[in-house]
Amino acid sequence: VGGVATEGIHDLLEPVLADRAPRHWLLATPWRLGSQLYVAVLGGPLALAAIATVNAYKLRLPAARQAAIAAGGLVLELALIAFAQLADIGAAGLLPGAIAGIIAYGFARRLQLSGDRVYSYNANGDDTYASMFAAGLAAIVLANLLAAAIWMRS
Amino acid sequence: VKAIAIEAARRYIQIGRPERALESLSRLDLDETIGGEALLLRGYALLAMERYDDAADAARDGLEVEPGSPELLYLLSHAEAARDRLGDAEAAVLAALAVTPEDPELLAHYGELLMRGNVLDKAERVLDAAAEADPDSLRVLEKRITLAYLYGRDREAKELSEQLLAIEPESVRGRQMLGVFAFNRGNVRSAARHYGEAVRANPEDDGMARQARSVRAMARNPLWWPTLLLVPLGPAGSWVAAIGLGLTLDAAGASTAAGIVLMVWVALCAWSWIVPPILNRLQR
Repeated sequence: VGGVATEGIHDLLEPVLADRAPRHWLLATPWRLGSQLYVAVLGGPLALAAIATVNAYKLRLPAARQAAIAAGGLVLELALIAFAQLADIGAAGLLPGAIAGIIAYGFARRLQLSGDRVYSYNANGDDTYASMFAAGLAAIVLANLLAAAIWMRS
Repeated sequence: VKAIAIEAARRYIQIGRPERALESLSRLDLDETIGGEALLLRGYALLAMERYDDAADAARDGLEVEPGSPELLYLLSHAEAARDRLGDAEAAVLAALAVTPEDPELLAHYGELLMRGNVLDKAERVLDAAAEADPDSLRVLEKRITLAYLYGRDREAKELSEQLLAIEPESVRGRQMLGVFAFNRGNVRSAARHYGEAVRANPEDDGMARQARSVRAMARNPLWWPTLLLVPLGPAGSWVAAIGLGLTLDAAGASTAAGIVLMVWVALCAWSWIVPPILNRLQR
């Protein structure tokens, strides 16, 4: 046995797991990270941010991380609107929206990764992800309607 | 008689025959089974048989005879963790650590509980303390691999897995992790080989056997192969590559080729949405 400072170890022995249980601490079954990419490409950064923030909540990630995902999507959406107006490409500029969505996805995926892996680790190989079809479709439609409304008003 | 029965039970547990261990212990008189050691072995046998409630009861009964026993608290912590009661499992292992604070096995187990509870920063500090207590512990090394993977530090997890396999070539955890990384590179044959070796090393792990079957099916069934083309680039990388290639071809005046790229890409996406769920269902 090596010479571990006993004082240092005692600092680590404060309980932190009293309210945590791996299969119950999730508020709902999470979505697959890979599936979020389709929302990002078809709905842009705002749709992705909505889905990824809800998923981060499901994975019970810290509030700061949830806020960072939402803020990242919002910033990219604002940048996209500014770019669309400057370049005069209008709401039909699907490609910039898809690219901004992919960037937002990369950022959001990185922030969700450890929570997703812990979830998967506890599931022990069981395929326990929820279907994202309805929520993803709703996010895509709403984000595109919002983007069109913003473009028409400006 | 008691010593022989207890030694036999210990051996049966070591060779993975927990039912025989219980039979051996059942030959003891009631008074003899009340000893902490007999209850400890009974608890481990029940744990191996996945009778977690009974294992926790055995540990608690043992603790009434030997209050504060680190071995019984460790058993209780395992049983509670298997019942997904992380708070109770933590309370038991912390009580054991209060007696033997530098025990690497206890620290590694606590690190595991913290990882399952998604308290990764504390898990890292606990595993650092475990590694300091016993730098050669393979169990601690296994936990560090898991931690690196959960953090998303894949390169570190891969290096530690290779280090583990260099010391212990039959390590299930090491093989499983190399299987995961081979799969993520799109090398499904190599992944199937690693998973196969992990199953051979521990045939009783149902979760591992299920994963091994799934990866082996991917390696053998050509219907999976189009999906595997997308794996090495990752989901985001695949989209960037497809869009980038299409735009480049279009800008170069090869709009027909760009259209073909787009159609192939859409077909691959549709395939990856439709076919894998069907194959997974058929496999079940």
